[in-house]
Amino acid sequence: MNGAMAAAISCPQCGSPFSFREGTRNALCPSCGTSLAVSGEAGIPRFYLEERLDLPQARSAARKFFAVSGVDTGLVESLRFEKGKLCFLPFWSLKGLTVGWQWMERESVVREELVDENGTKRTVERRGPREQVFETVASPFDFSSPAFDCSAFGLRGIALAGAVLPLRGMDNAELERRGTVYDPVKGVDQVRREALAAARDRSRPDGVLRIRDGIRICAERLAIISYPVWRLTFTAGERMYPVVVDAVNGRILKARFPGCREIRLFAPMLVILVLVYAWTLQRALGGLALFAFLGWMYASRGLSPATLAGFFFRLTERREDISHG
Amino acid sequence: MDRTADIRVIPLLCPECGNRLSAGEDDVIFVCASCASCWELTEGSPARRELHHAGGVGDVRLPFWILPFQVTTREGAVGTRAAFRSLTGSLPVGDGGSDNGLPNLFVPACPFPSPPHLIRAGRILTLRQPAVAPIPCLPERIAPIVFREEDARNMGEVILLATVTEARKKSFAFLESFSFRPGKGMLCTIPFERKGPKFYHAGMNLEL
Repeated sequence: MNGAMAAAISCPQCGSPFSFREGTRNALCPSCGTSLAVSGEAGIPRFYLEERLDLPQARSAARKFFAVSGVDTGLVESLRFEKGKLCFLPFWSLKGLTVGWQWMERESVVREELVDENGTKRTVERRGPREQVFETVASPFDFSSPAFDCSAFGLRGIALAGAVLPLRGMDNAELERRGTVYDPVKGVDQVRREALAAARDRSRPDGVLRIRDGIRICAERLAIISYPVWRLTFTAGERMYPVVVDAVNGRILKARFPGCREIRLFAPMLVILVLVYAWTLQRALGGLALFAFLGWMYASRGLSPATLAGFFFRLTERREDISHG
Repeated sequence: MDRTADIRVIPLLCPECGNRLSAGEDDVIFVCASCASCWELTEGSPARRELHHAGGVGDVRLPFWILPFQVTTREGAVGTRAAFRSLTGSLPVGDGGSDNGLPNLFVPACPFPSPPHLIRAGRILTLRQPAVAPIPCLPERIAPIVFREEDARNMGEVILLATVTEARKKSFAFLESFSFRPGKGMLCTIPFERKGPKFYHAGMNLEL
């Protein structure tokens, strides 16, 4: 429990702040010495992690990311920051013990030593009879899972970040003044099912033909932890580019940014050369080449004057947008 | 109860005498040092729990959930201590009470250095089937109670299977037919002598 997250809450007896570690049930008020049980709605305490980056720092992290991610420097400068929103994303945390049993059937391997007519020894592995094994499962368990669909934010888990950061007791009213607080959508039963499936997967060895188990989670301690991220929006021309920045460590969780510009001289130059060359050979051939080019343009891009002008005179082209996360 | 934030902080005070209850970080049942009453938080309010104390000498009392149980296997129903001994292939040790009485499952309610130690402690005591005669005494030096009765029920099956002979457990048909039905649990402390990381019970000649 030493690496568990600590939360600052005040004692209802004397009003002094005390620290409480996520994953534990009780704490001791250092001022009045009262033992305190910490709980929440339906017995599930809710905490949040304080953001460490403010908006300018998040913007700066996003711009640094653009600079090192192969975005054209000219484009980076043309990106205009539009808005930024702090979001608190809920995650379930389940700690406890997995206890139970598993019965497995697996193939055994029999090694036989053979000696040939020259006296050379060699070892041969043969498939042996199937063996049945019974094992007891008993180990501590720590599980974290998003409490809503946060694929749009690019954040999948918080176990590592949560191990070292201070927690605070959730105060919705206070947090809603600072940003958007997302409510958990996933229910307790679903989290328990997911945790149990994860516990089963963890204790399942490889190379097993048949397996049955009776694994349960005991002494469970559930909590909901809201994690802060910055959702920034940049624009370039009429396009919008969203960026999600981890508000704790400045990591870019998800982003879309404009691709580099490339100079395209080959296609228009080739068309011009072919047309001129065909015209100099024979006028009819030149006309045929011109019709072939116009037919291709009509089929692929259209034949408006703007399209034709764009084909011949727009000598730079932007690559597709690049997505991250 | 503080309800200013979305987190509830409940001061642990004895509803009987008003004294402070001492509680470790993971305790689920709290014993009042002054009036000896025992409390468990259920839905945010303290509910009284019976805590019994087995006689004997020791410098620490380890709490156990004692659950009378019945088991059904493909070999038949196990509802007596004698039938349980036959299932486990063990010999009667000490005074475990009448052979016709329901066998008891012992599930530790306190933490052990690791979960396998926990299973081992439960297995040893369940195999021994010691007769626990509660005596009136003031609770002192009780190890923290960190497992609820529900947890004991969840751990019960694996502790019980740990007592069964390996040959039986390797049979899938045996496991499939294995059905464990625990009765109402009793929380009881048993005195042990602490020697380093181990606990000894001289009367039962037992080491945990």
